[in-house]
Amino acid sequence: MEKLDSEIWEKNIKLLADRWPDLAAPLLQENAFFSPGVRLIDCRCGAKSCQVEGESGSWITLHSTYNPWREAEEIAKHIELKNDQILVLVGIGLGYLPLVLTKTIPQEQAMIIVERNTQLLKAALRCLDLSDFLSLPNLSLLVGEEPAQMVKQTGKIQLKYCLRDLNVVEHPPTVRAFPSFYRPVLKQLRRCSRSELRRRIFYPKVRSEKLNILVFDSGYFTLRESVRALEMLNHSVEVLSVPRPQQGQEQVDGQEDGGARECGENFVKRLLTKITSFKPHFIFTVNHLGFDKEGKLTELLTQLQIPVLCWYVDSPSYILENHERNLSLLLYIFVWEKHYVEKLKNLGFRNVYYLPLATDPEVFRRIPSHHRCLDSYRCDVSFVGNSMVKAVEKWFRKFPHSPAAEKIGQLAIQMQRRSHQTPMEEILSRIKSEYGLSIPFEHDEAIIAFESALVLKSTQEYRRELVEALEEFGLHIYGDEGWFSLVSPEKFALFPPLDYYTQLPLLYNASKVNLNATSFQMNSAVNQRVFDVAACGGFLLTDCQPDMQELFELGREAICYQDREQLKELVKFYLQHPQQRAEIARQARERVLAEHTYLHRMEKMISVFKEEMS
Amino acid sequence: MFDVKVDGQQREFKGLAGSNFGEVMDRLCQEIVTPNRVITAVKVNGEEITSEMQSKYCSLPTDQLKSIEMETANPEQLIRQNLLSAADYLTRLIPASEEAAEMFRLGEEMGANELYAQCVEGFRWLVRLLRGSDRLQQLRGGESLLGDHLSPVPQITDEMFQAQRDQDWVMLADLLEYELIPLLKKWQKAIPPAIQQRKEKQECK
Repeated sequence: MEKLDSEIWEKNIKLLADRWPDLAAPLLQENAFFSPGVRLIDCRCGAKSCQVEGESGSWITLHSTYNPWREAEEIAKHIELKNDQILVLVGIGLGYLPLVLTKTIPQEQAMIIVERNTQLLKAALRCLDLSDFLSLPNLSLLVGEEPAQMVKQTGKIQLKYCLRDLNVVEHPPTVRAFPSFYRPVLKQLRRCSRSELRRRIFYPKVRSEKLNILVFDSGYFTLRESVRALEMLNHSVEVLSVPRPQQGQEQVDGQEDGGARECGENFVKRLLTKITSFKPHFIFTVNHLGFDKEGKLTELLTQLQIPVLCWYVDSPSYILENHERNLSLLLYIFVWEKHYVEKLKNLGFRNVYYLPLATDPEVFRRIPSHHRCLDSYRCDVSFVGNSMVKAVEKWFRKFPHSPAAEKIGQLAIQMQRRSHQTPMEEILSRIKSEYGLSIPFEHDEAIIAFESALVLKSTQEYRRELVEALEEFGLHIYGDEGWFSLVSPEKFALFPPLDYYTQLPLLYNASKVNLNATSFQMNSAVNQRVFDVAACGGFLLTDCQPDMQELFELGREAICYQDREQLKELVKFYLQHPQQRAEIARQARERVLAEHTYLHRMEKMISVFKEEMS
Repeated sequence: MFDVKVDGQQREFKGLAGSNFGEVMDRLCQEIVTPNRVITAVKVNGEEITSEMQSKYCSLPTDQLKSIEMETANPEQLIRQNLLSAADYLTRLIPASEEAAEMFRLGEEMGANELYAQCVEGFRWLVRLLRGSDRLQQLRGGESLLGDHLSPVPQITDEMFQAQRDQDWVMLADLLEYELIPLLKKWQKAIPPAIQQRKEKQECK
C-alpha cells in the first residue's frame, strides 16, 4: 500500500508542481506521508477515508468509511451542472467528489476548489490518483489562503470567465469541521454567485433610433473624426481610452495587445464600469484597437452580448494572427479594402462589409488661395508619404534570411510592381506554382512578416521611382527621414512630416498638384489622401486604384495616371492648365462632400448594423 | 362502586373488593387471563395506562376508581398482529432511514436530524414491539421469532448515539446506511415466514 501511495503521490505532486508551483513547493519540502490534523481510515471497500480534527477539537469524518466512491457518486447526482456557470467546490476532502465530477463535466468546465487545509490536500495527493482532475484546463485551486483572499480570487476568476454565475457546492463535513473559516466564505460566494453585474449588462440592444455608442479611443486619427460624425448623427457617444500603440510604430506594424498590456484586469474593470453606467448598444473601435490577440475581450463582450463594430483602415492581416480567438457573431467588421471581405469571411468572420475611407470636411476645408497661412506650403507638385525605409528594415529583420527567401522576394516585388491589384499572398502562391519556389518558413509569424516586408519594399520602390520621375518639377516631399537615404536630397525639397490636423490641410490647399502613390497594402482601395485633398478643393493626381471609379467619376472628378511616363505628362499638363485643374478639384470636392465624409461612413455602418441586428 | 368493561362489554365480577387498583387488577387477572387470552390494554377512569404507569396506578384507592376498561386478545393472534404491524412499519422506516442518511451526506442537517429523530423513535417502538412479541412467544414456550436478528441492536444504537453526540453526520449516515438499514431489511425478510408460521399453526388448531 505504501508503494502505491508513493506512486500516486509522485504523479499528483508533479502535476501540481507543473500548474501550481507555489502550492506544491511547501508540500514538497514536508514529509509526504504525514499530514498533521488529518487521520486516514481504511474503508471496508479498500478505499481511504479520513477524519480531520475540527476547530471544536472533535474528529469529523469527511467521507464514508464504508464506500466513499458511492457516496461521492450519490452527492454528484444532486449537483446541477451548467456549462455557463463556474463550479465552486468548497472543501476538497480527499478528492472523491472532484474526481467523480471530472468524469461527467465537460472538459472545458470552469471549476474552482476552495480548501482551507493544505494538509488535507497533501493527504488527498497521496491517497487518490487525482491526475484527471488536476489536468482539467479550467481548474483553479485556492488552497490554504485567508477567506477574504479566496473570495477575492474567486471574483477575479469570475471576471476571467465573463462574469459567469457561480455554482457553489459545499462539502458539508469539511464546512462543519471548520465553520468559522467556511461559513463566511460561503456567505460571500453565495452573495456573488448570481452575477448582478452581468445581469445589469444584459439590456436590450438597438431598439431606439438614438444609440449609445462606446468608442475605444486609442488616439488613432480616424477615431476623432468618427466620434464627431456619430455625435452629429445624434447618437450618444462615450469614449474609453485604451493603451496606445508605442511611439514611432508604423501603422502596418500590427497592433499591440492594448487591453492585455494595460493589465487586462484593470482595463476590463474600467470597461465593465462604463458598460453598466452607459449601457452602450455597441462598442466601436478602429483596427481592433483595445482588443487582445488571445480573444479574451471578444469572448467577454460576446458573453455579455455587446456587439462590437470594428472599422479596419489598415491591413487586418497584421492584426488577426490569432483570428479564430476573435471570432464572434456579435463582431461586425468593416474593411476599407475590398479583398479583405472575402478573406475575413473565409477565416470565419460572419459579418464583414466594405466601408471605404472618408474625410472630415471640418478639418480638410477649402482655404482662400491668397491666405497667408498657405505661403510656406506653396509649390507646384508635392508628395506626402512615408519612405517605408524604417518599416522595411524592421520587417526584413522579422524572418530568417536565406538565398531562397531572397530569390522569392525579388520575384515577388517584381510581380507586385506589375500588378498593384494582386495581394502579396496570391503572388507568393503563383511563385510557388509557376516557379516551384515555396516560402522557406514554417511558422505563420515568419510568413506574415515576409509578406509584409515584401509589400513595404514594393511600395518603397514604387514611390521612389515615381518621385524620381518628377525631379524636373521641383517636387516637395513631406515625410520621414528615410527619404534622405532613398532619394538624392540635392534634387528634391525634403520636408519633415506634417501634422495631420493643422498642417496637412494647408499643403493640400497650397500645392498646385498633389501626388498620390497608393501603398501596395491596398489592392483596390483608395487611401485617405484621395478624400482629404478633394475636401480641401485641392487637385490630385492619383494612381488607378479599382475603387476610384466607384467613388469618383474619372476624368471629371479625378485624374489617374497609369505609369510614371503618364504621370509626368499629366503633371506637366495640369500645371499648364490651372482652370481645368480647378474645375476637376471643384467637382471632386462636391462629390466628397456629398458622399465621402465620416458622416456618410458612420451612417452606413449603423444602418448595416441595425439591419443585421433586426 | 366502579364499572368494569372487558372487550367493550360490561362485566360483573364478584368479590372485587380491595383497597386499591393493584389488588383489583390481581383479582381481575385471575378471572380473565388464561393460556389463550391475555390482557393487551387497560384504561382507568378513561385513561390508558402503559406498563410503565402501572406502579403509579397500583396504589390508587378503590373509592377513586370510576371505571376499568380492558382489552384482551389471544396471544397467538397478538403475536401475529404485532408481526404484521412491524412488517407494515418497516416499509416506512427503511425508506425514511435511507432518506435521513442521504440528507446527512448532503449536509441538510436540520431536516436530517428531524427525520433521524423520528426514525429513532420508530425504531425504538419497533424493537419494543418485536422484543415484547418475542418474550411472549418464549413465555409460551415457543422459539424466538427473529432468532439473533435483534442482538446487534444495542451496539448499533450505541454507535449511532455516539456519532450523533459528536455531530459526525457522515459517520451517522454510514451507520444508518450500512448497519441499521441492512438490519431492518433482515427483519423485513424474517417477519413474513414467522407470520406464515403463525397462520399455519392457527389453521391446524
